[in-house]
Amino acid sequence: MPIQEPRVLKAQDLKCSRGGTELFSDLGFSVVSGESLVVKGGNGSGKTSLLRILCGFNHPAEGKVTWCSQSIYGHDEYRQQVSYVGHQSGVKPDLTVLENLDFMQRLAGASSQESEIKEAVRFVGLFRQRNMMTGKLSAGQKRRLALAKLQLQQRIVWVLDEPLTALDKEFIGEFEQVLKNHLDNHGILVVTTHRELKIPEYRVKRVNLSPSC
Amino acid sequence: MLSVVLTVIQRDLLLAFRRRADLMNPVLFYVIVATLFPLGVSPDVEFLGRLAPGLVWVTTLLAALISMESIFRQDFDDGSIEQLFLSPHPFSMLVFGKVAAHWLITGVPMLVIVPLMALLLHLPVQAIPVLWATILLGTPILSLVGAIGAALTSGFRGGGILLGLLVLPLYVPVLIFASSAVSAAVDGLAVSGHLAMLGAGLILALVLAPFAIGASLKISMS
Repeated sequence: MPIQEPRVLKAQDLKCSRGGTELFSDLGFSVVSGESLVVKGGNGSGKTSLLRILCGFNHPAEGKVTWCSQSIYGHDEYRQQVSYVGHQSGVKPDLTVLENLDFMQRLAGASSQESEIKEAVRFVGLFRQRNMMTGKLSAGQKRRLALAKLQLQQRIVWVLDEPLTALDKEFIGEFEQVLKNHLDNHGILVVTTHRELKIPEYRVKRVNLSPSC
Repeated sequence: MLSVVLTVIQRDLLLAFRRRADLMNPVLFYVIVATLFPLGVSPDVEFLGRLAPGLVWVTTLLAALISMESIFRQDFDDGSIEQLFLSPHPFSMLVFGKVAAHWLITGVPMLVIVPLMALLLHLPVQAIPVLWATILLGTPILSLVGAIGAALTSGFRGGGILLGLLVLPLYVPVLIFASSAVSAAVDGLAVSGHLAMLGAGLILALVLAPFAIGASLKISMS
């Protein structure tokens, strides 16, 4: 899915507080298509809060986030460009693997063929479990299922909160390749991780949220 | 637009079907009240018949309130609500689908069971069609209005009591018009005025509640 014009996700003077304590302030960055933003920081430093702000779920205490120089709040077009995988990944334990992806796709306004969904399931290595209830999968398998959505939806901005948690080494390798392809296709990636991701250095921007004592 | 509402309904019905035990809760509540009340108060036919309209409706109200608490709970816990928010479809429409599914799961069983319950409580037979009509018009209002409260209280634990405080005052008009319609039917009086009020309330709730629910969910999410 090639995209011609460069798109910019920009944050200015962001300030975020949670439960009365300030997590970060004066945070600014801009990410253009083909780049990734790697957010680092200790536990409780506000990584998830930052990601949720970038998705438009939460509002920052101060500052603004813009997409192609328009504020992301109430920006319907931006909302349709974002894929978010958080700690809870929106996977229903009482649906099977295929049903989960099917409903996710239909609610995301994408009409995927059954073959595409099966292909995605095969890619994340859940083909044998495709008719199993998701609640019976292991933590790593659930995470794989959540990540399968990224490939199906083909949105521009991927916001991933600790995507590598519970994944095995082999799949991490494959997944890094997916991330690289996404960046090569002019996608944008915002990710928090405790592990180093193998992404070409020129495509990486870093933000360090130091834990406020 | 319609297809996405149907998709949400389909998903929620499937989920409810996979947890059939939970499905029976409101119905069970209904039946328990209908069987225990005559035992506890008086099995006198005339006395029960006079009490029945109010009793059936108070039970409906409480059953609706109990079922309301869980409408968004799962979606908050598993992160589906965020995924719905990122959908290109209008949030209020997706939410409307959720409420519609909730009504199909909780309201429709009530419609089925309520004539039986009316007979158990010796409601005069001529009033049963009217009672059925009030349940048909009233329970969707309870679902729509209750969902606003549920959306506001889903963000934190222990929202149940708060939900009751928020929503019960809004349920009172439904209770008044519905039970007085049934009482009027028992006495052989005209009921069209009461039913018209309920119908108007339903239309108002159908038009406005989805937006209020959507806005409330956005507040709870952050």
